[in-house]
Amino acid sequence: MAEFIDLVLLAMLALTALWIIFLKDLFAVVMLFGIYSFLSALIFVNLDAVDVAFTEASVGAGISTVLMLGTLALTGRQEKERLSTRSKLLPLFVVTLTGAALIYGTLDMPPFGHPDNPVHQHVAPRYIEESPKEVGLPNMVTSVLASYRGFDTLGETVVVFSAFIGVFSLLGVRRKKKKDLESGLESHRVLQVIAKVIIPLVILFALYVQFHGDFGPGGGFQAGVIAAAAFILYALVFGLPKAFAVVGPKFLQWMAAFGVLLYASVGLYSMYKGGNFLDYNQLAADPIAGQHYGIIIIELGVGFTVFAVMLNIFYAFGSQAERSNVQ
Amino acid sequence: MPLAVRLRGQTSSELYPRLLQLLDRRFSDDGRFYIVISANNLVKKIVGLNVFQTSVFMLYISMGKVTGGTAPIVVEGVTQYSNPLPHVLILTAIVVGVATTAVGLSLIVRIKRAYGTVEENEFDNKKDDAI
Repeated sequence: MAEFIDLVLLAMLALTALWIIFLKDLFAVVMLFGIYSFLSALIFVNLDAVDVAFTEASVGAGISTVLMLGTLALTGRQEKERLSTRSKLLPLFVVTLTGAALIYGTLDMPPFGHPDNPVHQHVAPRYIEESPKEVGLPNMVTSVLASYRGFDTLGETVVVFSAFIGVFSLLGVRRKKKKDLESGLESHRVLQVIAKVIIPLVILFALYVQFHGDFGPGGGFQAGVIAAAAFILYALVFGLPKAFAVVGPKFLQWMAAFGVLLYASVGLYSMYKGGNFLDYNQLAADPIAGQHYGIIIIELGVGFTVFAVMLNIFYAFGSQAERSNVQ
Repeated sequence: MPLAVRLRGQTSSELYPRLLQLLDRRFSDDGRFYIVISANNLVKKIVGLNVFQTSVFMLYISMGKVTGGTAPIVVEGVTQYSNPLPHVLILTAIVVGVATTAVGLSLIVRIKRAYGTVEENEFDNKKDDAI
């Protein structure tokens, strides 16, 4: 049954990707990309990767789609018909060749889902058997993410932070001078009322995902993105100036940096206590309690950074769009 | 040819997951790549890159699956879990992916501002003095 569902989902994925190739309307292309992301999230659920599915649904289908739409608002929604200056056959040939090579490569891969595959032999058994005892959390993905590979995750948080610096140096957020600028969807009364009901629930859900990530699917990455989505909804419906009044770009800049520093300072504190960098066992007398403290704090740091970066990137794109509307 | 040989040697119960895996891998990396190379519009290229990236994620996650296993969250009475390691790697890769996508998109916005177009073949006759 699971295989059948997989096949159906894969067929739908292939169809979506084909449509993406042929459509010229970029708005439809971006929406199809959102659908593609959701479909792949479903496949991830079917392959037992619930945390990944969660992230893909909130990040891939949510934030990526919003950012692409923000870009389309600035660059135009129609792809121009290409004049036949270059042949389409060459890329097709290259891709077919690459695809054939990849399929040839998969023939030597170990059988799908077999427990004795090499990928399940190295560190995975230790994570599966020992992490509930060593770290004391039921969700192994959180244990590995925040504790065993905590240094790795620190690096990824820094990458998110530097992407934010990149977007900022390229675009920057412009504060509005004119107060009377048409912004948001002021005339859509129904949307405004519905948004007011939904936004607190979304924020509540983000907090649940943040703090329940140790026990079920979720964690700082997903929670940050979901919380950012709540504020993005607010900014879309009520306009950027009002959103700036709630959480300003300046505050978010501090918040993004604070998240990274909070994460790194946990590592430094554990060194101060005599352990290695990010060795949570040192944080409390009881190693398990120390692990809990460490993971909660660094997940908070990740949540702060991801929330601030995603929202501020949206602000950067949104304020560009409003500027070009005025001109 | 090797495909046919490999498939013929297996019983039908083995064949189905094997086919699935082949399909999975096939859709994983082939085809999507085409958009990245052939699309003329830069936004569409970014969409293609993202689709391509998601497919690579699927390849990784499919390796972590254990038949009969369950999601790697401890439950009483369950002994067989799927491999949590690929999940962790891909989870962070997704977030880093959206961050790099944002940088790419803001580059496109700047390109539009400087050249007035985001179509690849229209750059040739534009001067870059508008920056």
